[in-house]
Amino acid sequence: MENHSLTVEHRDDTASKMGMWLFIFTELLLFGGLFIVYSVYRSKYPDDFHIAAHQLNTFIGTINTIILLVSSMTVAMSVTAIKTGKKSLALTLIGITIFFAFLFLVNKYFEWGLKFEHHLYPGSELMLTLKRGELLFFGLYFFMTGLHAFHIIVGMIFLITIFFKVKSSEINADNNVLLENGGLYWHLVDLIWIFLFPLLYLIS
Amino acid sequence: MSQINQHITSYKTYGIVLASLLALTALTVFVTWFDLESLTIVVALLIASVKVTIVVLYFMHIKHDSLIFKLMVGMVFLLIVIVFVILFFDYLFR
Repeated sequence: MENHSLTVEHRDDTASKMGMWLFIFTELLLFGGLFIVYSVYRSKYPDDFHIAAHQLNTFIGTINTIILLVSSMTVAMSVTAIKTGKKSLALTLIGITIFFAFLFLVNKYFEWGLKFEHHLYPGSELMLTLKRGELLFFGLYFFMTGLHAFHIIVGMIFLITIFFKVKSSEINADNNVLLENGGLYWHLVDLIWIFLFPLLYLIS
Repeated sequence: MSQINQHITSYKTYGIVLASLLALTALTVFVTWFDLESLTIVVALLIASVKVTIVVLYFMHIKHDSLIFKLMVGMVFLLIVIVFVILFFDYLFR
């Protein structure tokens, strides 16, 4: 008997994308739960939330919003670029997105650093002397922006992996669902921030 | 093996989408300069919802995806809204 070895690569782009969306749904529900906690405590301690939110830096928050929106556009454009066969443009656009992700984290570092300098961090002595509502606000602020920043880091790693796969032409004009999925993940990070920004930074 | 009738969004469309998102961001910051009292949160959430819709439709490509994706995404957002509404009915009128 002859040994037939035939490798047919199975590929189902629609299923890949659907898998990514299912994952995104779990992420939405995760943050949705946190938003529920936020809104219940906010309605319970409206004045404390008001005062506490006043201490957040609206300027850094706004800059980070702009960074995420622009980077969402660049990663979306990279999909257009790769599909029209413009590999180097796609690489540039993904590179810009990764750079913006890094910038976001730098801003976050300074923002949190400033809070730490003022002895505001989870478990600090100052935090424990705050009113209950303020304590809850800062607890939620650190947890939600922290979890979001973690998603930024994951998104960066995801995009860096994609960058090299585009470079090696593993992702190309014909096979690019991974880049699309990376884009979807990055837009999710943007989506969450669109709600975090007004709820945490702008309610004062 | 690539999908047939694949829609490719133009750079121009993405540019317009970004411009409108930035305009809405400016608006949401701008309205905080006025004292809208209890309406503040309503306005903020309304603008955020519009922004999210734009991101999902254009950046996340749902506008040009097949019906199954539209339904899935629509239903999950609907679920989140329902959970919030039911929770607040329970919380506020208990």
